[in-house]
Amino acid sequence: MFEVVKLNAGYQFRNRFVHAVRNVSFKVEDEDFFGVAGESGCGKTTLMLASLGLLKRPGKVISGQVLLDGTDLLSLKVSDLKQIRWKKISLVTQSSMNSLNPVMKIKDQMADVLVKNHGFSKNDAYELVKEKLKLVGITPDRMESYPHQLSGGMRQRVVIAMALLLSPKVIFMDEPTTALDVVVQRSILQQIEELKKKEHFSIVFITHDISLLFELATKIAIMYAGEFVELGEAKSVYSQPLHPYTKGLIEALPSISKDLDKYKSIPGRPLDLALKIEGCPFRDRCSYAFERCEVEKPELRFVDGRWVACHLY
Amino acid sequence: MPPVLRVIGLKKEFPIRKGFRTLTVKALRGVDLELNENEIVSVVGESGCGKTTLLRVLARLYEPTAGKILLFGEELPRRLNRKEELKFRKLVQMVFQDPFASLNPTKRISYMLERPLKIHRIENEEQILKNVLEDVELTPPESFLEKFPHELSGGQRQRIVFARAIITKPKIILADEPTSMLDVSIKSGILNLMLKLKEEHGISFLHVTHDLAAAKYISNRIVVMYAGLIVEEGDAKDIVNRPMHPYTMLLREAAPDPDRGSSSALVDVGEPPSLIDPPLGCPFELRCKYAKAECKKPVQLREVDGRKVRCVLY
Repeated sequence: MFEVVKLNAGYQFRNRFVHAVRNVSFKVEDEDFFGVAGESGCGKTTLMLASLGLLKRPGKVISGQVLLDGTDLLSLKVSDLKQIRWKKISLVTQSSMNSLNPVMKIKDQMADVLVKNHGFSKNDAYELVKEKLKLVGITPDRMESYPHQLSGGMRQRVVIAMALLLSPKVIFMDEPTTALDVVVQRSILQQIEELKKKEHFSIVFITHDISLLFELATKIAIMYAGEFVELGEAKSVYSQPLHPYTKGLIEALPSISKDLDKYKSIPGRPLDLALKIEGCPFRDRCSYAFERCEVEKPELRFVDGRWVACHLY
Repeated sequence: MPPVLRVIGLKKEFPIRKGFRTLTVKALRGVDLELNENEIVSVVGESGCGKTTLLRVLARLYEPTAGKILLFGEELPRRLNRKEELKFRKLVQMVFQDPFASLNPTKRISYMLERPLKIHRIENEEQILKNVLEDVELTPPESFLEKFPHELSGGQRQRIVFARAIITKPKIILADEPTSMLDVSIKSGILNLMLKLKEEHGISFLHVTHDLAAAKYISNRIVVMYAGLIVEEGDAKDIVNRPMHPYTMLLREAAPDPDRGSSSALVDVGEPPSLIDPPLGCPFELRCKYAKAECKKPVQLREVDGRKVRCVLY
């Protein structure tokens, strides 16, 4: 089981601190599909990097724990982390199609981590690479290819196969399909779901495309200004959003199967995370705001089977 | 009343060199299209289907290989002199995808909005500038004029791009994925702005997008392109609710939809054909589950139920 407890992280500059992740806690059960949705700049990528111990300077974690089967990843030494990465937890990054090394063959860059950090012989590593590529539907003859010889969808599949190499229990996915066409995106997402059933891992899926997340995720967290404002079962959050921000997002979303006449955008813009936030961070954009929202910050509370940070409940 | 913009048999080929050989990429292979007054037409399709090439040919950024472009019923000559060019640019404006790249970061908003007025010698700058910012709902206008692009959010920047496009009172705006870089909470704001500009200023839009849901929301008609050809064209809501061409069905199924009960397994094999040597028959034949022998022969765009479809099934 994977758990993040009261994580605070951000970016330290000379005279200001951008507090990008504020007191975030969540739990991912085994074989869960956990979605984190939010707009750009809400801190979702920082949350992922911090939970994996990948946040580099000027970024830093101030407090909190990231527990994987009871061990706190944030307190481990780099050498111990190397043993856990890929084996227990792995990552598929944003536009990972471009994160492949253009001058290395697919098989070599996939085998690299196995040989370097996990004591594989080269031949064993290639065997494993072959097996995992088959899993995502790439024929073994493609192992000899360079990234530019593959289409965007295939490169994305290679990166997913790479994340699967050592059958980790948790895979973080940061917008894994945003750079792809809708049809390719759909077939890759389908494959991810099938793999999840077959290989029994859990997914933490981070994206701004909330319509996608509502369709796929079992649990969803809506992130705003560095915090989770609503967390619950995806289906019930979609059918009955509680937080005004979640409501606004759903009303702003042109739907393909509904024939609505008017969609409304949320007025205003997100807060500057370098500033100290008093009261509710969403109050200036919220049509339900009242006096209490100005002065008192709403805490996450358990309401109707889900967590909401709003004074309305 | 002739359509504001009409395209007949438009073709565009790009030469590419491969070793010693020169090949041609056939990006547009005979496109017929009409854009009427007060209409939003969305062109949807995957990357590489030719939708952006179409827009760029219409904006005269590329010269067409063959075909005619008619503006208000009059054929546009291949070459325009300076005066005609200016007149064309005044009537036809463009909006690009990335509001972070399409505004000069070193200039103030007022400078960017004044440029088209200076070029087209339009008087009464100050008042026009204010009106146009009010039109795109950036109020109060004074507070925006002296700002630099980096001081604005993505949605505000895209509004400035629209303000710059409508300041010459154009009749047509060619919009290339104007909302794809924007966050969900502001996306519909820009879509509503396009609807408002259509209603209040009588501007027609040719809107290129890959977002079928957005296209359904704002357009009167949707045109589906595949491998340089139009495969289906019809009323926006109708085409999404009841797609007829197998490719449109595939797009519809692939689009994210939280209201979908159970996600049906999408059967998709392969990818679009090469445009260097496109198939003679239906371009979608190789991916199509309904494909039969006659699909190998060229298929024409036919009228079926008030829709145009390029498929042998109908």
